[in-house]
Amino acid sequence: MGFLEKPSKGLAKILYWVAGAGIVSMMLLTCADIILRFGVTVYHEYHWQFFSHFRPIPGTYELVCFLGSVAVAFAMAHTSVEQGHVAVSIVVSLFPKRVQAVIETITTLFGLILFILLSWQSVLYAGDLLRRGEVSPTLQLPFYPFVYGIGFASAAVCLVLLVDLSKCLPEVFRK
Amino acid sequence: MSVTTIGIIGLIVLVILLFSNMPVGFVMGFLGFLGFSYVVNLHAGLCLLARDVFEVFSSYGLTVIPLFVFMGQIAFYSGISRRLYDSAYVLVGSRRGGLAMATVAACAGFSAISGSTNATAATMGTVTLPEMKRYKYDMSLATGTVAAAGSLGILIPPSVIFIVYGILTEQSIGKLFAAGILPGILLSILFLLTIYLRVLKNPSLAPAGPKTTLKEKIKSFMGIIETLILFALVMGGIFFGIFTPTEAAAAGAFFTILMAVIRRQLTWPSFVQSLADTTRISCMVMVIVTGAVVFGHFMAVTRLPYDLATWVSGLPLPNWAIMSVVILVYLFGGCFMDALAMIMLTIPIFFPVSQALGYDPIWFGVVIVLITEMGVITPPVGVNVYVVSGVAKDVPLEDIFRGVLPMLAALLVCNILLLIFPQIALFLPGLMR
Repeated sequence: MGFLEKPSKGLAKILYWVAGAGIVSMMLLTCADIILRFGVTVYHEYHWQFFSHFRPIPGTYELVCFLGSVAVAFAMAHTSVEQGHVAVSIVVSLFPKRVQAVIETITTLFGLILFILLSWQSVLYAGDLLRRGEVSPTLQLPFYPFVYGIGFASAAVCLVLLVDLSKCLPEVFRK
Repeated sequence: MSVTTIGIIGLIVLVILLFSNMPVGFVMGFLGFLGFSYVVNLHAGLCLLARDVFEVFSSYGLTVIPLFVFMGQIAFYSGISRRLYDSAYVLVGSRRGGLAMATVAACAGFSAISGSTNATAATMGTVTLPEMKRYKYDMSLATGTVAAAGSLGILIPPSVIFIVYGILTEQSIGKLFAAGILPGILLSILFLLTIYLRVLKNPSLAPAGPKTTLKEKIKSFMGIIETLILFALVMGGIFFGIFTPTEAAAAGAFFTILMAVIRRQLTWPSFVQSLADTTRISCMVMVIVTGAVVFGHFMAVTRLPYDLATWVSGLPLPNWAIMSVVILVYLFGGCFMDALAMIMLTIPIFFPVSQALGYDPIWFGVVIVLITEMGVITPPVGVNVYVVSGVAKDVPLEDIFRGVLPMLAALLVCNILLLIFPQIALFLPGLMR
């Protein structure tokens, strides 16, 4: 499984930067909306012509939600690569190395099952949303691409976990 | 087997798996899915998984987390923490124990822009520990101070814990933020008092620093102005209902970047680094929250939390005794677990109990945040202590824990005061529109 290590890390990193871009976009979009909304208020109060064309950005709420889902989902794989998820290691670290490897293999397997299911179900759910033509209320943006995004991002986590598994499994059988 | 029994088994397996070094969010998601599928059916469980994940990831309320984390990271990389400490240092550094007091003040200040204990402890540790070492402070006192005062990060708003607590229990995040301010100030004062008393008893712990002139003092005030402006913008905006918390966080992050760029204190590499940290931290938080939501749904179908709440509220015990047991559970759990994970795990179970006992949900939020603050500095898993020990590699872990002990007493006093006078937390939220 070693051959998967490089591509999975590479993919995780690319997705990570997409997630980062999502956060920056969320910030910029929300700030632009606040400023434009402020302009509207000023125009109504003081009738300054400069602000007459200011309008809040329609659908900011929806866009921020969608960007939020990208920001989290696409960061999952790289956060796993960097062991960035909170875990309680204090008890496991007391066991001998072999036992630690056994526990790690089992828990990685559980994680893998979870993300395989999540990836599969997200794809099904997205297909369902696509068929039903569900869209956001203001901008009429379809939901399904973002759910597919979660499915894809979860598949990337599976790759990372698979590589982890390939590393801890040999430790179990080491003589 | 009754559904309640399944719920109890689920909880026991959860506790076992939590100690297996499996990521906390994964454990809760996995068991939540298994349990829900067992109680309802497999198809429902599979559907629940995809739906819960999409709903949490795209929740508007939770988008506030990456934005506040971003604000704190930019503040760190652009040196706001350094300037805060410098100001506090010039103001009180010449007194005995002054540098440690300055550390508490700077931590409180940094907490006003950062929402996590680890970030506050790590940030202030790198800034303040070398200084205290230079002035021959007892390193146990110095490291203990940073670890304890760093825990203010989750009490003084913005606070990641208040955000997720607010969302899971459907409380106003603005009110929770407001509720954290006075207890945060009270706790800071208690920390200062603890240092003062320790140094009074043993002056060699913390020798006096160099004297500063009035001019320097006035000049140093500039260092806290930006933090004050940021805090006023963010909290003022939420408090007066001008911004939603997400908008306040976005404006705060943007303003922090703007100020750092104007002061030429933010380079491209440090911007990229702060974004990378933000992405990782937010993902970590959101994965835990998502896991907790899935697990919470499993708990809900077993009706365990409600049964427990009904049972507990029917016990022939006074409310404060039940509350004390709840607090003990948090304290004990907090010793082993990260603050956020601990709160996420227990809210589905203890929140209904606190409601059945008739406690104010906002007040309850502040109380459990205060208790988990104790958790992050108590052995064996005092996360903050490990963070500080990562910064001060030459100080043995036992010394840091020893330095933390007197601060724990301050936290305990603060907690007791809050139990006796709930108004300390509830006064400010009561003023909100």
